[in-house]
Amino acid sequence: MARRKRVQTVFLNIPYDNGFEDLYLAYIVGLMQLGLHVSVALAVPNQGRLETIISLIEKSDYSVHDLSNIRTTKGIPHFNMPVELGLALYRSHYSKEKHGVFVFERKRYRAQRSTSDINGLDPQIHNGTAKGVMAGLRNIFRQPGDATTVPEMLASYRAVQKRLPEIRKNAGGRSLFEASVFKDLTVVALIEAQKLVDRRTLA
Amino acid sequence: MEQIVISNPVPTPEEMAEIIGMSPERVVALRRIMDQPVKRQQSGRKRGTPIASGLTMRSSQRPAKAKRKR
Repeated sequence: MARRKRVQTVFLNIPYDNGFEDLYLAYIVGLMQLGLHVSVALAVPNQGRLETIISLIEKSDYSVHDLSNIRTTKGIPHFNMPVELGLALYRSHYSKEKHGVFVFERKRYRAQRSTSDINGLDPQIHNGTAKGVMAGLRNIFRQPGDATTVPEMLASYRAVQKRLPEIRKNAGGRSLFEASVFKDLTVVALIEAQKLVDRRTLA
Repeated sequence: MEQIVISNPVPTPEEMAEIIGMSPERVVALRRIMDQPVKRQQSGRKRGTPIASGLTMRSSQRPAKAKRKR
């Protein structure tokens, strides 16, 4: 039997914030349906967190950093995401660009102003929408024959979104940002991907 | 920007479950969730149902909102 090629991995660096759940789901569905495996730093304890994140970045082929929602608590900004972007950029540099780094932002030209050092990276602008995330992902990654379209990804996203209460309840998790719920989301995204393939075959 | 071509076929749910250490039973459970029809959320009140005893009100019958004075 022919051995299956390794599935390429994307390290997803996003804010674990309840207000970001929709875009988080869009990233998972989009990336999984493009044939990529998603890795995230969920359920990582604070002690040893940096080492775990470095290891996740090292094991990934690409990383996607969404800088659209840098939170502040009592006026203090959270810099974890820019730090993780810096780690990925260094990894990309010393691996001679074997690790691809991609930045997403909500508004055009904002990343150039907030993080001018990355001006050469050309961020994808999602306008805070799932459709924007998927279009951005498809700008970066493509399948031979551009098999999966943005409307197809969006249809899968909506199908998963409708079942979130059941998925959450089943996994015993309240938030989507729990490791068990994340695993379920990666698999249900592929269940929907399989339905797309079946529909295409029937058409 | 050059696009990255993902030449690998999209993994099946079972293949991904193996990669992430999920049991086949869990995949079956998730398939069941994704296959079952979605329960429609019902709004609090159906159209034309009584608001107060013996009364029903359609949108056309509702009193117009008072205009705000500037």
